[in-house]
Amino acid sequence: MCKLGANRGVVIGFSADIIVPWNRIIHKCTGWIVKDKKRIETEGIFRISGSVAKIQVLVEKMQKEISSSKNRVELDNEDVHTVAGAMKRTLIDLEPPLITPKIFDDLIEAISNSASITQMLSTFRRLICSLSETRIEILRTVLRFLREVVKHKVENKMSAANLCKVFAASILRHPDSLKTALNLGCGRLPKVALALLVSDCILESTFHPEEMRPCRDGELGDILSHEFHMFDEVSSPKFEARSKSPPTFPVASKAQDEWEDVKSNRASSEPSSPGFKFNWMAPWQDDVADSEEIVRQHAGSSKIKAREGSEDSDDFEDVGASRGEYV
Amino acid sequence: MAAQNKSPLNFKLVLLGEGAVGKSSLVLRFVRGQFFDYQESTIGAAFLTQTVALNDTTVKFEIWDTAGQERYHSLAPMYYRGAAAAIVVYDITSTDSFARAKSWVRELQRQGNPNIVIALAGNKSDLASKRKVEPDEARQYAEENNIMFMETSAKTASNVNELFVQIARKLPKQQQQDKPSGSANIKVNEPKQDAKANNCSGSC
Repeated sequence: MCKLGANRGVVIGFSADIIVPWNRIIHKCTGWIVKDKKRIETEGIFRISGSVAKIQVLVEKMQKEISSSKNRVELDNEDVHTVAGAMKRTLIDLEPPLITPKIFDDLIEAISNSASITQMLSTFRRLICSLSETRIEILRTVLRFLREVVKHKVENKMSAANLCKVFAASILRHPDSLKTALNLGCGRLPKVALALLVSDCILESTFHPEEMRPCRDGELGDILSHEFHMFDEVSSPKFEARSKSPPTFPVASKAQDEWEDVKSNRASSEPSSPGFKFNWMAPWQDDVADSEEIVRQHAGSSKIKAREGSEDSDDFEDVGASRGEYV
Repeated sequence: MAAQNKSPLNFKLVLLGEGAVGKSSLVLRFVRGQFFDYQESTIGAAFLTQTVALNDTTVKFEIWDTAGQERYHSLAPMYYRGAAAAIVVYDITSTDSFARAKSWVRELQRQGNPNIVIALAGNKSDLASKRKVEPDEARQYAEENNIMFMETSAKTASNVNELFVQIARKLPKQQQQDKPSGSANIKVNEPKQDAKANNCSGSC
């Protein structure tokens, strides 16, 4: 596996890569969060955003700390969400981005067009190996840390999939922000992040996010298919199970008569509703055609028209018909 | 005149606000009457519809529930473009989320549909003990900016249906039933009401 195993934990001091100093900020933030159980167990860590202003100040202070050893930054007075935000910010601001544009494209290509998960992961390994050692090191630090966060998911409510949704765009960013946004919006970036997090593409072991233990290749495939299914397909199993209970409609007295109609309407359409969707939805119905990609997406979502024709399906509907094949 | 129950008026509605304030939970409560303690982060946006029957009309909301994470922000204009109504959500236990809500309101007023109906929703009103944003402060802000305001709780269902009904009442009711292709009866020189619905999505 090429150079992945070598130089573990060692940052090469003489690298011309300008991202080296940022590694220290990442280490400082992750170290601080991991140090105290209370911090890493904070509910919604990385999902709930801290104050943007405070994050900005903290990032600047930490950057100064690197250039002169005098200004030591003390994190203990900071809020967990501020420190987590500062870490995310630092990753987002890396210039050039942590994952180079070429590798970004290839990762997206691999996740879209691989025949199997095994093939996809081997492509991922090859691609990550072609990054510089310092970049791999930062990525490794981050992923190792994210595994720690997932280990406390009962308390912090951040499962591997959930964490990847909010963290993906911090490690996977293309200089073309529309490209980043679209790949994020259709759920591809969270998938790539999840594959990197649970597989041994970059860390030396695989990881079972449900049971928090190393797992075998076969199992890994199951985890990824399960989680990917959750991103891609109609709903996660737990959601379906819950949605069987009939909906209740607390009715305000003054709006009572109005809601009677709504209720009967809904009762008739309820059984056919498939469930919640975590897929890419195209918001442009007739208006937006800003880029070639959008036009292609639009062409794929033919259900928009179909939906307009039917008046009575009142529940969750699938507009982004092409979610699996979004090109 | 076009107000018949048989053919509901369609309105595009978008939810905006910081991550984890309860946008998806509000929509889920409104559309399905459900609430989950553990609601995962939204990717991109989710689309749902729900019909509200008023006395003389039926309003069908086409709801775009957007992702609140900051990194998804650049996608937001695609969702609020052409929207007839927007619900800007904040969490009453977080002043940061209230500040973020204000900046959403500003952005909508600057770049959204000029006639957009904006509602500010202070969600999680059940968490009164952790309250950081006073209702008076939010109400005053809403009045100054001429937008609607309500405190809601997706968890207890407090004010959720009311919020959507209030918005439905505020929306213009005399719109064309057809989508832009059937634009024969769009009166361009009559900005009073016609410009508001999703018919204008091509031009706003």
